[in-house]
Amino acid sequence: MTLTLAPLIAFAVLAVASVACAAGAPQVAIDQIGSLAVIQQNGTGNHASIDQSNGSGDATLDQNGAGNSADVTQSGSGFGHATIGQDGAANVANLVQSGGSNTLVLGQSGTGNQASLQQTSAPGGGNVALIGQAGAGNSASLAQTGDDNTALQTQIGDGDAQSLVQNGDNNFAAYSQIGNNLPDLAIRQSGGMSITIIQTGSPFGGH
Amino acid sequence: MAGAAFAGNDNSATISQIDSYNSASVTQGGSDNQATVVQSQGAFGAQRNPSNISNSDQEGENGSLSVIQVGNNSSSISQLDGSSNEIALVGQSNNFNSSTISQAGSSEFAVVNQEEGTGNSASIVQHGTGDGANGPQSGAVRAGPDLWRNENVPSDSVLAGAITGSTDYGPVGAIVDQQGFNNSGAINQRGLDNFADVSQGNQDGSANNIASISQSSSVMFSDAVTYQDGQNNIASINQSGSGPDYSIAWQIGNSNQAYTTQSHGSNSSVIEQGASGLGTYGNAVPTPGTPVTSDYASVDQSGGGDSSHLQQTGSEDTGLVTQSGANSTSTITQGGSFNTAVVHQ
Repeated sequence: MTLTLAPLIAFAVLAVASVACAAGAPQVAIDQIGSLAVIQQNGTGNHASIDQSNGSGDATLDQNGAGNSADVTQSGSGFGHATIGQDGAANVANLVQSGGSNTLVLGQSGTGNQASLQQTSAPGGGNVALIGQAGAGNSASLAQTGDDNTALQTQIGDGDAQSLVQNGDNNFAAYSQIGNNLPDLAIRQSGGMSITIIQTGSPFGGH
Repeated sequence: MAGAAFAGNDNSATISQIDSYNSASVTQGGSDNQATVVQSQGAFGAQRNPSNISNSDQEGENGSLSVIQVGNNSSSISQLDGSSNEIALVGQSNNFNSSTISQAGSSEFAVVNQEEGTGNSASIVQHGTGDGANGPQSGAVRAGPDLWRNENVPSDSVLAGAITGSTDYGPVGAIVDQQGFNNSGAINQRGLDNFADVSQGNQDGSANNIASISQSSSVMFSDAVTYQDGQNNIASINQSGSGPDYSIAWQIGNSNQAYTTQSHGSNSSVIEQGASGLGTYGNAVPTPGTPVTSDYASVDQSGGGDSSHLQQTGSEDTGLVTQSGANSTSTITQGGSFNTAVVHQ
């Protein structure tokens, strides 16, 4: 099987990397242990769901097409890692992580995509989220609860919306939007805080 | 009615009945016995009068039994007390045939071949231990490093291995090969190192068939293979031994259902619905076929350290994988639209 989400994930990672490195974001170490689930769907109107509750879990979900939906739930006591790639319009991704420590990589390419993401780590654990969206009219909502939260979010497109809530100690957020007609930025942090925000008009023109 | 009864060793019995409404009974005790029952009423594939009955009982070692029937027939073979290294071969054509084979020893081999008919049923029960050598089956289709499926070509000999071009078979295991509609093939095995194969259809528009394989009670290192070509088929594989066991279910058609249940850990399951052409998991078809739709697949693995690969090529398919043990791996690949994939771990 050849996964095609690699370009999306590469986009998500690279898009936030420059901001993260400049801001001194912590390094993320990901170990592959526990359960592994991989779903790949090519087409429209598909639905994928991964539910991992046993120890550590690693979930990879790749959807190519429009109108797809993805749900990922990870609640094991160990380490939870999720990678979600959606290429197409009007896709929806929902994620809930409540393990010991959680990491997320999300890449969406297309218009009108939505992502709703919640990460809650155990005491002493941490959350890391790398989010990238390319296209107009996308929205991403991220809530992190726990110690050592890190959020790296990048959107490229007009009218994209983001929201971020971080509760806990040692929070870090790197937040980048490139596009026009951006809505009001919504960020709420509690605990030790650090944030970098970049908002700029599209270098490709636009309204 | 014809009957033959032998209590010694190295006996041979041949019964030929070229008529309808016949009954044949063979009982052989001792070792190295052979029996052949032919109730053919003519050439294979021809419609003939029904209702021949064959009952055979071999109780020694190294015996072999062959039953060939054309018509609405029934065959019953028992190779039970003190038996091992025995062979049972049944070939039936036309409609509403039934075959039952019971083998209790080790290293047993059973084949039921039912072709060019509908409403046939085959049941094989093996409670002994295999020898782990599941091949070779020249002319069979290989599935991965270990698993093969057997399938005769249409209009070939009723009996496997009888003429050139038909299926050769391995030394042990149970094989059911059926073509047509509304057939059922069931294999029940206990022990270890067993091999079971149910193949239904061969590009002949077969439909509404049921394939069932159960490998239970102390089974491990056992292989189960099902192949169904057509629509509205159901495949069920249940491996509940101490593992590791392996299974592959192929379904080439619409509205098929496949169910795999494995327990006790370190098991492997592959389900392919539609010919992807990828050959990733031993697909027999080198080029992609027409995507098939509305299929359903379910995998339930409860031991831990299990692996599941599910591939569905068309639309409106559903794939459900439940792995309740730790350190398991699940892969679902779906092409087409309006599919649903669910993984519970």
